[in-house]
Amino acid sequence: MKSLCIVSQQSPYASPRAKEALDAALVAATFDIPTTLVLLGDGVFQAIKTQAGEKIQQKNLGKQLAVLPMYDIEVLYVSEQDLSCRGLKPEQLMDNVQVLPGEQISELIRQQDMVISL
Amino acid sequence: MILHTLNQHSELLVRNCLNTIASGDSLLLIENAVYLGIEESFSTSPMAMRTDINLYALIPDCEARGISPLLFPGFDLIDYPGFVKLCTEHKQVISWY
Repeated sequence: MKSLCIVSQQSPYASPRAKEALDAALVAATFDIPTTLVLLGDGVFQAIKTQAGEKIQQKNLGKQLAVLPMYDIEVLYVSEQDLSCRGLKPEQLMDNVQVLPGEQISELIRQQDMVISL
Repeated sequence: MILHTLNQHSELLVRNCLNTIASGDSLLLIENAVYLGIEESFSTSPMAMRTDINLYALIPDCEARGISPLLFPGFDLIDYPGFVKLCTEHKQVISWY
């Protein structure tokens, strides 16, 4: 079974792209494809613990990302540089998130067989 | 007085807007632009230099994105009726998007 990396680069709520990246991850995991989800660029905003999409009549993406461990996607990877230049700290993110420096992120992506970027 | 609304998380948009904004004008962050108000990054933004303008952010968009606790305290938080009120109090509204 080939492994898959999904790179999600958009913030939640303003466009459907973040949700589509999550859906792709869930579908892949459902078919037992080893799946890694990486949040880069504005994608790091998806991991903010205190988000509440219902305030603007949308599904809370954070809650959906939080159940990924049930699909064997144990952690979400977030770029340290992308986080800090947006004024965020690791403790403001959800529990199943791992912050890695950019070079480790690129190494992680290189280790996967396929990449989907959204 | 002009009300400027920003709806994207984009430094370029901020720069364009600030080039046009005059003393006493108001700047309202909505949708993805509320991320620009995160205190940690706002403090180094050109917006922080402009102490002569009024800063507002839309509550539902801040809460949805989970950044209300992280926002620079200089922002006045407004709800949708407050947004309408701001529009009526300013002669013109410019949307930056």
